[in-house]
Amino acid sequence: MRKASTLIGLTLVALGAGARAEDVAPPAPAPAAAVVDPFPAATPVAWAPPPAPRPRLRIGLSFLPMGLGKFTTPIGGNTTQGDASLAYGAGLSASYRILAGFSLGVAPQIIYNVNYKAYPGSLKAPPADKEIDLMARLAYTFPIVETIGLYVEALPGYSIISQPGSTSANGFVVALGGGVDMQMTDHIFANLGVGYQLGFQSVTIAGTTFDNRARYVRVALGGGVRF
Amino acid sequence: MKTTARFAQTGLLTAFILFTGPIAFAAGAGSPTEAPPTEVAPPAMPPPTGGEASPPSTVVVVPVPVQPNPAVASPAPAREATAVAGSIPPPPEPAVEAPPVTEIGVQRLPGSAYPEPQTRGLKYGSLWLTFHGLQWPYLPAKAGRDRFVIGLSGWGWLDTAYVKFFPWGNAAQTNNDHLAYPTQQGRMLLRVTPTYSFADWFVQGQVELVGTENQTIERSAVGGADTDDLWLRIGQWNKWDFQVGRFEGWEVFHLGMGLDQNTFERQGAVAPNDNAISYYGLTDNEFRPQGAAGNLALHYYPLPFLRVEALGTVGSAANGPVVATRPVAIIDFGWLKLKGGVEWQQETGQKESSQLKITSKGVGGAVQFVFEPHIEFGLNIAQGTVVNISDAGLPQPQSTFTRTSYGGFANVSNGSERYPLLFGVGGLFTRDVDQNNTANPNVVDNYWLWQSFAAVQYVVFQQLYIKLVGGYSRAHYLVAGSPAYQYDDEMYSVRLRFSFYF
Repeated sequence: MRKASTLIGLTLVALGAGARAEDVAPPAPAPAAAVVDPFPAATPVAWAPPPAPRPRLRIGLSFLPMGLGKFTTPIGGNTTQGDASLAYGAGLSASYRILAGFSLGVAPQIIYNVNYKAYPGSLKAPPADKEIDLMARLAYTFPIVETIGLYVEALPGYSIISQPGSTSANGFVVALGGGVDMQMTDHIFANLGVGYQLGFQSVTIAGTTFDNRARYVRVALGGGVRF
Repeated sequence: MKTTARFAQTGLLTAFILFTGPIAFAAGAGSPTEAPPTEVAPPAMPPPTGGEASPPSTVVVVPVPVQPNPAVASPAPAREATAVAGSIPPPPEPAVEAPPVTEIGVQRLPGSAYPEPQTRGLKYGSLWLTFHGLQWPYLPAKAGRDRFVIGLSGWGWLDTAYVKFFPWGNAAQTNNDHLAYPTQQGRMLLRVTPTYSFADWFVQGQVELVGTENQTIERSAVGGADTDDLWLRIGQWNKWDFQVGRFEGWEVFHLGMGLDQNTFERQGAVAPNDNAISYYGLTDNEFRPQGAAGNLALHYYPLPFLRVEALGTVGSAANGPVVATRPVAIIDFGWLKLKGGVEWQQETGQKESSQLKITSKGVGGAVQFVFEPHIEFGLNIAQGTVVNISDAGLPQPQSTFTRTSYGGFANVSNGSERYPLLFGVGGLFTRDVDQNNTANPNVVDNYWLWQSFAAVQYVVFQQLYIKLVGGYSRAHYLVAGSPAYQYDDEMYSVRLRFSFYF
């Protein structure tokens, strides 16, 4: 997965770099005002290229450090909650702008080191879990000034918390957040966001269902390309 | 009637000639009878406009009458020679003033005072606010004329922050250090830089007068000083200079848009009851000395891209007499910056009988890349040791340790002049291992500290910096003893900073 994330990241950068080169490559057409008309019918107006249509497709890759959270698991037949350790992961998002600033897309993510800070049980702490979230992304971006926008987003989805050698927990997950979106070139952007992610995962052991969920303050540091 | 009148006229003329002739003769032909006008000579050069880079940078320009250069004073006027013998001598007239060699200006430092022969970094970014060893404020003489300028500049910042500590583990600290509290702190600094420049030489002084928002802070505490810089230097622009006083050594470690001085991120997950640990970045002698100690530094600029600082420290610090040296070199190609240095410091006791000796050594380096106008990043690494011998001449194993730090930062910008926005991230890992194996020969104190941040910054009107920084830090403590124990601490912080550079 890490290799895949790296590959996707490099691909995005490569796409963006190409887009930027294309921005620079075409020579600007000579302005029409340079042609002298001895009998001008009206004041000549400098030619300006029409504004490029706003890109609709957005593909991004984010680093997701989650330092603050709660982790809940069944320990000794009881549901036990404790402070979550720093988890880290990566998220990929692909959105399409449907109307004005509203966009719709998908945002799968993977999170490692899903664990307690200090294991609350009396036995040896189990190894850390891995969480995979398959989420949709609904976002609205408010352009503040050129190159800068503020966005809010909701990411509902389905989550799987897995641990080698034990039954996986799964269930609904939703993340709510907002952030700043910064346009670096016509096609490359960077974003910084923060939010909260609530997991409603559970696991069934010997016919009994227990909460087995993770909830985090979610930080997203990323970037990507727009087309 | 006509004849009578002509006779009278001739007689008067004869009498006048007889009366005045000898006097005029005595005075010498052509001698003036009045002193030359005493108007103030024009200044040697036009008042500085301050418009070198930014027209509004000049606040006040005060051309003042200046002392004539004695070497080129004009000859004395001839009034003395015209005085009548026995009369009261008139007061001496001032000499005719030669064009002055100096004018005084009180000037907000113009943009050109902040040199940038190669790019310093992304505009408004953390590297851009660093001078990479360059001579600044840069106020050379203009058009070959001498110049005296009192440069005014400064900056102020206000932080509103919140911090929360989450310790855990089997130690007493974990019960006592569950802390959460907000703070607001700020400093504003007025920098006054009198500079006399002639040809490519200069004599410059600087004092930074500090006001602090927290009035309960002690002067000796971190951030409590009411004077930051206080130094004098002499040299040739872009060639060399010698500097003495209170000032910082050249920066090697660059931490990015977070981990600013006097902040929670900089402190890290080190709560009041935790064992002390802080990052090491060739920093024993980088910051301004505390106490009755100061620096002397020789700066040398052999090539446009090569800068060298040989810094020494001497005086009396908290523990007593201190001497130190910290040579640093910077290779700066703009897009690539390489920085490295070593340092050595020794503190001893004041009493002749004292055997106190605290010796600190270190080596460190950094590499930074700037790809304008969008991305800059860098990596840092340093390692140092401290060897502590007590007043009684005994080794202090708990205070004798090795510290290692490494980390990096990255900033990205939208590159907009009008709406500059930057994101920044960074992290720093530090490990301290001492020699405290007295209780258990196989265990020594072993601490590590991780400090990281993410920041977003917007600059309003190209003047007011607004920066939001979120910080995360974790520390792990393995404390030697019988038995040894371990615990962890985490710190979360958020900070909103308003800064104004002027």
